[in-house]
Amino acid sequence: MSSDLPHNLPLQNVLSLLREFDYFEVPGSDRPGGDRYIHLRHSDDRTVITIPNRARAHRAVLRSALIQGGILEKEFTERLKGAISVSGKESIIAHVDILGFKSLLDEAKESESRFDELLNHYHKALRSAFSRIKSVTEMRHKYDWKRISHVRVYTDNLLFVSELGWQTGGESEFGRTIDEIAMYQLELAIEGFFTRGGAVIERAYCDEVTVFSPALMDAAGIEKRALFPRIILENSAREKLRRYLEWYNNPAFCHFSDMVVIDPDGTWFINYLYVLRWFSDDVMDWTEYCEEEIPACGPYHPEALCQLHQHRDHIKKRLAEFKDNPAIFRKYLWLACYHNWFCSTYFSEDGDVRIPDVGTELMFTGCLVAKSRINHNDR
Amino acid sequence: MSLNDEKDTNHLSDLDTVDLLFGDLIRVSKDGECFVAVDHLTHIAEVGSTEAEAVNNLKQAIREHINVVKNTLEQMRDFDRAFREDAGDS
Repeated sequence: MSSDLPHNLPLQNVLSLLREFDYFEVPGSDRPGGDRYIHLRHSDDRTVITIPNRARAHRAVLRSALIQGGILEKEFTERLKGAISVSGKESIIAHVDILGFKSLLDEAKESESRFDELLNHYHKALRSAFSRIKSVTEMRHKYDWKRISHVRVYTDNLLFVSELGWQTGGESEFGRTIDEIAMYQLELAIEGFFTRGGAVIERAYCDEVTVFSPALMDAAGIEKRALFPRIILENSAREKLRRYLEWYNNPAFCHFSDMVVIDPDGTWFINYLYVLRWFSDDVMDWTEYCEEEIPACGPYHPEALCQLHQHRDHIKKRLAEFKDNPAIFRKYLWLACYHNWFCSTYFSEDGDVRIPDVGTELMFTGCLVAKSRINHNDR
Repeated sequence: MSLNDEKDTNHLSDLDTVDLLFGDLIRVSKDGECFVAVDHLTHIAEVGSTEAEAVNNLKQAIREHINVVKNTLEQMRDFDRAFREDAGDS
């Protein structure tokens, strides 16, 4: 069984941590068997934890103590970080920021009413995106208590840090983090805030108060390399994903095949709009399963279509707004191409979702399609 | 069986009874140099340098655990009785 618990933890550390969970040692006079075992009783009820009285607690003994006491391994591990020396672990780290945030702040300086208007719009979008991420990660962690991913927000910067587990080379944590980033990106995009950034694989340490990783030193560089409003996979993350792709042959069984796509310029990035197709399919399947009436929007769920329309309208507005500023215009032009490619690939039966008159087309490819080419190049 | 019920725990104090009741619930695995025995009812774990030693240590631990649970229940019952008597007196 996989575990983040230390192999041999000094007994004194175990006892002091269990005290933090309100477990206190049963006095000697109440213990019939002498000092061979230590018994701890919860302060509020009669739950008793029994562990051998040895200088160090074996990992299995520690795990048994947590199960006896109904203590989540995740919570214990977090407390442990404050009690013993910590070490970094291979993690996926993503740094994301909002495109044009500086100009938004400049605009906010103009008047008090404009300041509040922009603040409220941004606040609403950020809260909604962040609470969705938080609820999804919390729900996932509830059922996978060993792993914790940390999310930090500062002005327009968002940092995801998720330790990779040893099982399947950390594939599940990698995939989850990609999903979480995509959801965050989508939530902000449908409110008109487009994001860019990058994901790397790097040794990192993170807890409630500390984020420590060399990757943070290059956060600004990562954003610049993204170039367009997209979250790219830097070399280390791409190499990791390539290793996972080796295990798949059928795109139907490979979640990454749709979640990460390749730009014609060779950049791998997160296909955040795919969350809409994923959502639409899930809800439509569930509706059909429950034999409920399927909404009249063709094969797609109306809410997914509505959000895709919102995404389209924001891009159209930005294209018109920046038509005289080529540096910014090309960023939204790329976004328009991505939007149109996505609609043609995943929402092809709805004729109204595309942005007309873009004047150019980009053909992106799912990352699994590139597998054979990549393998060939490797050899 | 519930370990929180005093009637159920009264007859569990000796090693033979522990052996009889818990024998089937103990799983042993090897972890590096040592053996780990875990009881899947109480979730208590013990280690030993051999499989037999790990199991024997675990049975001893279960026995002590049951005795402590029993003492705890007795104390709570005594406390409850004293509390009721006090409340009745007043």
